[in-house]
Amino acid sequence: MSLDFLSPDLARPDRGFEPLARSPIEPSLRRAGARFEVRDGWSVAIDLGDAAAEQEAARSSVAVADRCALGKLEVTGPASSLPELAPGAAVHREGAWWCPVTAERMLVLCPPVATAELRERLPAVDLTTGLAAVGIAGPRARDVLARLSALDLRPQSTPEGGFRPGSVARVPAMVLREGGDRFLVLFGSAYAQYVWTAVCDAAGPLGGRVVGAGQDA
Amino acid sequence: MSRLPPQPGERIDRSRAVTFSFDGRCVRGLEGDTIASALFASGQRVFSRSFKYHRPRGLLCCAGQCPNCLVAVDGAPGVRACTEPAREGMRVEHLNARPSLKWDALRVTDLLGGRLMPAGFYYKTFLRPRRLWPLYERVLRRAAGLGLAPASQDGRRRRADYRRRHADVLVVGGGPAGLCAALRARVLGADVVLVDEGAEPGGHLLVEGRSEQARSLAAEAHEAGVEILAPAAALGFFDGLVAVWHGDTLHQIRAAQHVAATGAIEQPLVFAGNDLPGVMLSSGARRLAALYALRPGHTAAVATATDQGLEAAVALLDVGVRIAAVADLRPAPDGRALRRLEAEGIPVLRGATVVCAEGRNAVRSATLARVDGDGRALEGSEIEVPCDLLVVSGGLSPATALLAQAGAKPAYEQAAGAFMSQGPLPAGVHAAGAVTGLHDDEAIELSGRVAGAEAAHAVGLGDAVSHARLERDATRLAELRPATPAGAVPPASAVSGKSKGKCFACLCEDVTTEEIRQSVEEGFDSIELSKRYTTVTMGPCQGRMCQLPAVRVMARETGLELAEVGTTTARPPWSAVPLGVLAGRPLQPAKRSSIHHRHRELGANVLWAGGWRRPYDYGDPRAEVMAVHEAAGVIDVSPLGKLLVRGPEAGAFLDRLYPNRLSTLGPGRIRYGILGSDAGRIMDDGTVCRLDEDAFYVTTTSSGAGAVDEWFSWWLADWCMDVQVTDVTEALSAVNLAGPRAREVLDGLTALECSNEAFGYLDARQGHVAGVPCLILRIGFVGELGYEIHFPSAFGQHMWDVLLQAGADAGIRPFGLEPQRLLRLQKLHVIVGQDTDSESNPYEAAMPWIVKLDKEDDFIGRWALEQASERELATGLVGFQTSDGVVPTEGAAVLVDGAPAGRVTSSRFSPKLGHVIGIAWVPAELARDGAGITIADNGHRLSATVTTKPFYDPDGTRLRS
Repeated sequence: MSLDFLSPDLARPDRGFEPLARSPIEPSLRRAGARFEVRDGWSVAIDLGDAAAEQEAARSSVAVADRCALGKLEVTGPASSLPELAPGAAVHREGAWWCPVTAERMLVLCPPVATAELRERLPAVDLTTGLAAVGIAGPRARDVLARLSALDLRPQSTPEGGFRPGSVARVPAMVLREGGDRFLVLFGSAYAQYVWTAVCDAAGPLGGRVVGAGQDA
Repeated sequence: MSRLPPQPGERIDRSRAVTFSFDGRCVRGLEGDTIASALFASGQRVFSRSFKYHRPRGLLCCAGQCPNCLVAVDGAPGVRACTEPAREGMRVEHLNARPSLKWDALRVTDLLGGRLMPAGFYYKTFLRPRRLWPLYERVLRRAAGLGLAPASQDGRRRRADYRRRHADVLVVGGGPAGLCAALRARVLGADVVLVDEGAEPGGHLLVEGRSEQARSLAAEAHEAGVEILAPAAALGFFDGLVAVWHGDTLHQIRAAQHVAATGAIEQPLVFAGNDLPGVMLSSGARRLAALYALRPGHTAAVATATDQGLEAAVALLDVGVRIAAVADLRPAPDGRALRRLEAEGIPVLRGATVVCAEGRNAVRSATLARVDGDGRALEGSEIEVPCDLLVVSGGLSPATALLAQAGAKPAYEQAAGAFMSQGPLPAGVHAAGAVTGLHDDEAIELSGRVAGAEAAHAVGLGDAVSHARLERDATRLAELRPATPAGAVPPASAVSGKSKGKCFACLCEDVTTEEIRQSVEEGFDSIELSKRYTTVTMGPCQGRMCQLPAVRVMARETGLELAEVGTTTARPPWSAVPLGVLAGRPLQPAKRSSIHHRHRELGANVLWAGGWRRPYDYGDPRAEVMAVHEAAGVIDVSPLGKLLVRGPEAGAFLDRLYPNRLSTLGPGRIRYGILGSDAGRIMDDGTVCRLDEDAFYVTTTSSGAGAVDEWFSWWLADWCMDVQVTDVTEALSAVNLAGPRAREVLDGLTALECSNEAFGYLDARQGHVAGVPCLILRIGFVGELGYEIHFPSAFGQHMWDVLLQAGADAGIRPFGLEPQRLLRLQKLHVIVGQDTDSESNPYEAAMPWIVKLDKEDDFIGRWALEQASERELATGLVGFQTSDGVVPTEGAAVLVDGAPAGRVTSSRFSPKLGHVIGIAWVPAELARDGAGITIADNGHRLSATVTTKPFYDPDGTRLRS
């Protein structure tokens, strides 16, 4: 037996069924009027009706995006068997973020299309659907996170690639500073609807808005 | 009242009007006004009624320190009118007076109640008859207090956010010392936050008409990158975290270094009638004139212990207030202000103070007199001065509360006549400005720069140049430290020969000097005891105005020195704050399965279940039960805990954790397991499936997933085995497809061979179901043929829809937790935590077969279980059924000889069986088939019959079919 039952990318059309992976945030996005498109087997929110305004939010205030479709792989083993990474410092290479959770546990974040190849090569346990991911980007991104978390996300404490396990909206989470004012928040996918609501609630009064995939770039 | 001509640095914008209502009356103010300044400009002089005696109170400090101007704004009580900006359309109302602020019926308590309501009267009266206490309480609560919260929930609602802020340096206080400290630290490269209580930073500079200097300093700090929060109250110091209330945000600031530049608070004088409207602190009167261009009165008497009062007299003189007389407590004052006053022909009495103020609702006259060391007026020295403004200044008291909360030790300094921080400050804490006893401008600013540089250096910033400059500044500061006190020390109270009025030590709680004397007389002879007895210092000012006066009275009455009396413990909050701000946004984490929205669409009744939101039923639990028995049902079991246990020693690891053998499990097979504690007690249960030689898939109860993951990880760290544990609870959704037609439903969705021969009971298979990669466990918690299908949670909606669609012809129904509980009860399947508790072991819980004491190696709880196996059982977990159709309450007692000897843990009416069934703990002698038990439930006695076998399909034929 294998661990295939953990890997969403192994779904395939069968007997007339065409399975589509959906983010746990999708119901909230649908209520907000999002437009969806199928990308790499996932139903992805492209925009919420006003792509220009969404991009402007990312530039001038804060944009909140569902990024649950990101591939998330867990690599475990003795520290000597893992790529050497300083605690708290993720690195971006081969198109993926390599994030040290502990000395013996690493999380690899990659585009959905790259998941299968990396999973086989490492090898890794596929936690793509175990962790939800929310992107918070823009000049007020830290203000949003400051309303939900006590993590010190100032550039001097959490520079680009800074990876911080902690608590966001009172649930266990990990925050990655992807660069500039771009943060990625990872947390248990069962909390997705709750955390999404809390993040949007915090971002709203700061001029933030929900954006579609890639609008926060 | 018309405004004064434009004042340099005034805060108001004369071109923009602001209109609001006060007790229904329309009030016109100017942009920049506070509520109080706008009201004062409109002629209002009484702003509140006092807490206990309902005496009229007017503006005193104009700086948010005292309780005299508390009002309700748009229904929210406890707002200080003197700092709250006037906003267009706001609704302002007075507090604590009926029928009106002007005519308060409860003023009678002042006229009659002095003797009837001594210190601690509520401990002595209203005691009998006891049954009337609720009535007394209601009357007391209505009579006293600081306003009422709005009755409706909507009226109480407000948005308040938390904001966590990390910083290198936090400066509390935005006077010149604080601004200089912040600027210096910022220039050296520190990340600095400055918080100030006032509407704008500047501290005493604003009061003294030096607003431009204050604003220039603040602008320089802002431009340098200091984050300035104002008005923002630092509420307390909590182990390095300072909570700051700013608008609708509670900033939780965690800084590496703290600079307390909290300044000093001007103290009132204590004399008869010292609370009358028209009695104002010198800084309050100056603030009204300088910032809001208001003349605080027409004719003023001034009583002071320092130059501050004299300077105020000059400032008021310059805005057209007639100064009738000045009393200076110092025997030989000197200085520019004094000379100016005397040059104007104003009488200045040396060694004198105010001993009495008279008037009904406002000051009409003040009596000034020379006094002895105890504050008694010297015979023949009293002069009555007609006035409508009595300016008082009792010297400065350093605001040490935050320093004390941080661990500093305030002690009485005789020369200064006040409590000051003594000795070295706690690590990471610095102090600057008037809080350190400085009163010279140069020294104050220099102390700020020194503190700022020290703070920046402490976080590793600065260079040789900055260190050298710090050394020079520190040397200069030492030279500037005052050798002589700034003023005279006021007496505990000043007393006129003729006056018998109340002398208030504490304005917030209406505590008089006489009440403190009484408390001492009754044995409450320490300041901490007296505080609790009289409530002195416990009001909204948090001791800012009353700590020092109360300590002076206590010293006088006990004969102790002030240093011996000491101060009360400094506790947060330093400023009054709405509870809603402390609460912040309500965040209640909830887990939801990936199918949750479908449950909602199906009309499920959703309840909390161990941190999850789960469907209790879909409206008809009986029909859902029958569907599982007769056709097929599907339940979302995604909350089940799911752990991957991998590695060469995975089997051995599980053998050490569970009392049964798991290493012997064949790949593709499943075994039930109970997880025990060291004491052999049942902690959790679930299934263990062997995926391959080195990998197991472990399920746990829904609420136990986190604890089991921790338990596994804890032991793994101890045993150092070659095993990895990964929690995949949220990665996988799971549904249980159960019922006699379950196979038929599944068969149409997968290429897997689903026959009983190919896929038997307790088998596990991997394969695609409706195109989704799945792990399928053939188990039967609900007692019918069943398949637990586990798959990536991203396909929850897909799988749910497909199963309901594929099973439609077979009569499939979704079922919730309630039907599941009944179905498993029919099979006598226990729910850990409901049917078992922290004391239950497998022997008592009728599962002796799961303990394998013949295992070669040790396992957790082995010794305890060995002991248990050798003892006779005291209790047993059994099934029961009643004949009268009454469902006993879960928790009802099982009686033996009329005494409780067990309890019901589960009970339901089974529509399938047609009678009431349940599970109960009973004495061991009754744990046999056919034994009769009596259940006591809500006053009724029920007869029941014990069974030790499942009620439904006891041989498991249907499960295995």
